[in-house]
Amino acid sequence: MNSDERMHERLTRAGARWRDVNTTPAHVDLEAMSSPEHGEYLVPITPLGADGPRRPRRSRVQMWLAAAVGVAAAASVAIVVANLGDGGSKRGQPATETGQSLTNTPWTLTGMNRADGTPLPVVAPASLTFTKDVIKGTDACNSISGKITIRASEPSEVAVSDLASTEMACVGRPDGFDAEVSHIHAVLDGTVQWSITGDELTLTNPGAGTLVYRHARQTRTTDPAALVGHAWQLALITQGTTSASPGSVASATSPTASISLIFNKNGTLSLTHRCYVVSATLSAADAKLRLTDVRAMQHSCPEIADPTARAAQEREDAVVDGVLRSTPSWFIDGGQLTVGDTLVFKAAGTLPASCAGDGVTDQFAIGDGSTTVIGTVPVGAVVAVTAEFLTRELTPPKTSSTALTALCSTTAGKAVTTYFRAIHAGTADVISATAGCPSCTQTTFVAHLTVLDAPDSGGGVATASEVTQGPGGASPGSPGSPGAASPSAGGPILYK
Amino acid sequence: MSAPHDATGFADWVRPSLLPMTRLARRLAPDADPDDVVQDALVRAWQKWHQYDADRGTPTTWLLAIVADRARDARRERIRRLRVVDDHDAPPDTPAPDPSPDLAAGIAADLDLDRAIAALTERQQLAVHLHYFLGLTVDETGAVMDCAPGTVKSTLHDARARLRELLGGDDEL
Repeated sequence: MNSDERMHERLTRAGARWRDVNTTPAHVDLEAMSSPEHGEYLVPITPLGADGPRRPRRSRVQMWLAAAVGVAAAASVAIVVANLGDGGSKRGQPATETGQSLTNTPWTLTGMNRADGTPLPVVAPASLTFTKDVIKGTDACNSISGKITIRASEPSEVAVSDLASTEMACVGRPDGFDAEVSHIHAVLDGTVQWSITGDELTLTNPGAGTLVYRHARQTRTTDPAALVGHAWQLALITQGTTSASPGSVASATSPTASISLIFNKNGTLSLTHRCYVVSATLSAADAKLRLTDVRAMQHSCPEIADPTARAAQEREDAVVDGVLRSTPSWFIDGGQLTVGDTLVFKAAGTLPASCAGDGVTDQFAIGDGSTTVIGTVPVGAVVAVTAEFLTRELTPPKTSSTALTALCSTTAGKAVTTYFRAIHAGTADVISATAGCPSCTQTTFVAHLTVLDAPDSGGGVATASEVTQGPGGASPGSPGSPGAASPSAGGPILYK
Repeated sequence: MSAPHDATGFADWVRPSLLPMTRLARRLAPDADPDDVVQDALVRAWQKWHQYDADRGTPTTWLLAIVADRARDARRERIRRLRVVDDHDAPPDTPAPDPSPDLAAGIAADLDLDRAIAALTERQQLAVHLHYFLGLTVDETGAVMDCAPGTVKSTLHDARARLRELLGGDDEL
């Protein structure tokens, strides 16, 4: 078999596999074409939605670019997180003589007892917050939420119903983890007696045991300056009375949803998403996020083969879009940014102050004259690629890989660093970071690739790859053409 | 089947072609919403249905030709958006890159097969998508592309050669 035949075979097999996973036709309402009221007009061809035929769909980017900022999408998202700063007593909710309120107070689990009084260890953090009608929190791994009822005739009892939980795969579970989760769910099943002593809340279910929580002191702020300097990684979406993590919405076999916000000192916002990048002018005053001059840029979007996972991902995207377009409220508390009481972001990558004002610099690198740095970077990590130019002008490093999306660039002397975020699960393990401008084929520079902050690393700075090559060396590819180099120990790599 | 003469007939006429239409939209404009592309194509087909000539191809090949046209528009629209965002980042002395499919796809030398296909010419891409990814015969591909089967074969041959170049020695799977 010659090379042409091999390519023919490869294409044939690739096509067959692709057809196997692309079996869903477009959603168009052909039946409406024949409806008498439509006659031979063109408008009847509309996609099918949950509520029947509707207007033609616009792409997500079109929605972002639409001048009209609707709140319909956000309005469909039921807000379940109450204002944690408000005392429950102000709303007529139960309070104690000590001033602590059951509702609208964040509680952190500190102790557990079985029904017979036997203590159970708390081995993983868990939390609860009660609002007027809803309970929400975590059960040491998954988010939980449910409805509550406090009857005036029995003010010391709270009836919990419809308790729901996300179904995240909980990795790294310590001993006692399962027992803790089970006990939390057992106590929060049905009618629970509650009492507050000082900063301590005790929930007792006679048939299951007790849960003891302590008031989690807040460090809440709505100072816009607190937004700058981090890469805020979406960690949680709260809808209605059910909370879901992005990772659990898309199946484990699908690309991990990765949505991050960067607030720049120059008053702009950069949103990086699995499929697009959005930049906008931002006002964060009055505890509201107001986006104007929104510009969106799509990039190659990894296909999610599983229709269920794809639909879940699209729903998740729609919620994020809708909330951010609705002039949502925001606050930061405990290292978390909550937007619209719906989106919870964690401060993932802390960018240097000198970088935070630059905004998104680039998404694609075009042209030759590039050289390559290879490293293994987990999805969601913030990656810094620094090029110290020795012979030519400074040009920020770019990436030719859609595994990375640029966050910002900073310059120090002859060194230019571009910060990227790894966004694709399938390709993020190999990074082709291109440094230099297309005309800089003879530019000599020293490149470093550093993982600043990976989602699972707990923060900190870790060097992922620093490899060395002397001037005039061959790897990672001949000058002017991308190539690959294996990370190795040693100093920085020198490219020509 | 002849071209429809009423809305009911039109719906019945296009329904068997919806899946290949959707597949072609996904192949040619992967970053566009296939629902939108197919819907645009159906509107165009509805407008032009009286032009359908059964002697020149099946309803499916006729509809696929319309999808190819609409997908090209969708892709170009996306490239225009990309350039608006990218303009500020172009080096001062470097002319802006051509609005080629390469730009939209972010082509690099180590791209996988899909990325390499995106580097082909529009005609080559269309031939590859129709023949290999939609599974059309050479004759059917020619009907969509409005060219002779021999032209399709030569286009596919050129496309494979270009793919081998782009993928280097990595043509073994």
